[in-house]
Amino acid sequence: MDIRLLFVVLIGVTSSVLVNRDVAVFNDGFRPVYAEYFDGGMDRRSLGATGFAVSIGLLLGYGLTTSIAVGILIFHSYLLASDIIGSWCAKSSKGMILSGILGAVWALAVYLGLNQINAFFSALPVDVMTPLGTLADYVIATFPFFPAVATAYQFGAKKGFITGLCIAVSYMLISKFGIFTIAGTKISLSAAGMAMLIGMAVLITFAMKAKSEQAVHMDTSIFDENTKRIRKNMLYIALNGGVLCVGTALLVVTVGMTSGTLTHQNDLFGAALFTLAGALGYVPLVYTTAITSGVFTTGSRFVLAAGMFVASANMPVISTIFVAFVVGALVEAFEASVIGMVGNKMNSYPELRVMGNHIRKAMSELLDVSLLVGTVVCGGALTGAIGYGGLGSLIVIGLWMLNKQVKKKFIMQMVVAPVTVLILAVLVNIISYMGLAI
Amino acid sequence: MKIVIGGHLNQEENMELVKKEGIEVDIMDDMSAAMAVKSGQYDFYFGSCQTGAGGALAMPIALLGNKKCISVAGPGFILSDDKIAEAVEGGKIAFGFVPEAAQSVIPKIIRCLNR
Repeated sequence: MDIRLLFVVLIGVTSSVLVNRDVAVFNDGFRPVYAEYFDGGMDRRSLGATGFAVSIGLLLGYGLTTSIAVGILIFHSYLLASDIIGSWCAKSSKGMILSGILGAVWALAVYLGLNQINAFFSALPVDVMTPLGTLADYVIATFPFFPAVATAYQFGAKKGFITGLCIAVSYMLISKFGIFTIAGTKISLSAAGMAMLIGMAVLITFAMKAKSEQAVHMDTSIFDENTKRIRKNMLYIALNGGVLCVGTALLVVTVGMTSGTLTHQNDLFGAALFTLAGALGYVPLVYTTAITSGVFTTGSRFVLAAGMFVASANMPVISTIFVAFVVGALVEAFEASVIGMVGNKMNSYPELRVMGNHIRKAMSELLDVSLLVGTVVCGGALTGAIGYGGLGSLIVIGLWMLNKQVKKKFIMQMVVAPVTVLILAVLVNIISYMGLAI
Repeated sequence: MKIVIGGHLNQEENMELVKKEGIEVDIMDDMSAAMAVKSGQYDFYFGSCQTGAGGALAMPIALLGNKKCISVAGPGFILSDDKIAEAVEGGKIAFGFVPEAAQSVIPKIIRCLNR
């Protein structure tokens, strides 16, 4: 049996059970609702209904569509479903078993389903894999730049340019001089990853120096009970972290478009660095919602970053599994034990807290633009292969522009272009089959 | 009436839209914004994020309670005018929506709040 299937199932089971026991949930918008549920202001049924309402759109419109476009499951696809399953099942031993079973079934279904979809695209007679492989080329080229965008959002365009310049120059220098030969083996530093780290360092320096005018200080000691609750559940949280870390190291799950594409290109170290920076950006949102609710997250980005670091070491499968499990469990246990302290610290450096929001925004907007460019090129290549020149580019940009005007969007603006490209990949095959290729 | 903009996306644009309606408005990070409404410095909270419910409303839900918060527009849905009016009458004071819906829902919410 494929050992990966075991960890796919375990991700589904442990995450759904943690949600069912009110220990952890993935959706940052769902977590705060638990404060009210614990106070008795909301019954289990409304909790389940809320979980479904805030997660289903994100699961279908972002999680699954992004996973299909990048060819590897992003963690939203597993964990948002666990939120829905775990909160829908009753909080009893029967409900716990049921949520475990449903979680396993869902995880297996999306994993095997995605493999089928990937196989389908590879089997198409007109080659679509080569153009589709270039989809995220510009995402990979531009991701190290996000700290400059975040600096500009938070501290103005001038400082943004300074950070940008640091990133571009260090990218160049590391590409040129970052290659060493140690004991006969050639080691090259990941220029993109290192440049991004330097950008992050500049951004953090600006944030530490900035004086905040208007941030409101909050007495976090009123949430001591909640941090105690999270610490009490540390063992279960750590177990889930270990499983998720192994899953990431075995490449059955990743964080998003950027890390997924870097994984495909075998730059797991770069993927890990990017995920780590993203994890820092998510600390304010995830930790504050956890502290105010007493519920932790089933999908710690630090754990996934750790899984990618382990995978980048290229160990034999058995060692990878063992090391990833231990590291993932330790990382998650560490997070659960310091969460209260981090909450207090964030209070003393409000600019760092705000920085998190800007990092997330910069990452997502940079991804929007670079992915759009990649899909336009890819769309043109797809139709070009059957003699229709740049028609595909026209369709991608056209649908992207028109979708912006749709008020009740079924899919998010961010994934419109990749979805269009996937549909084009099927269409060019149909057109070619009908003998309409030029 | 004073409105504070929290959430994670589209803050500047949301502020401009509120200003257009002639309402006093400021931007804060989401936690400060929710605290400011709780302490009475501001009357209402508006926020955007990619889902109109997650990052947009996480802090107000935590600090003000779920009963005071509502997601007005998310992926695949946008509340009708009647539903928005109903929500305002029902005591909602924090509103979340996706950025692309801001232009249409902000004037509607403010019209209801003014009533």
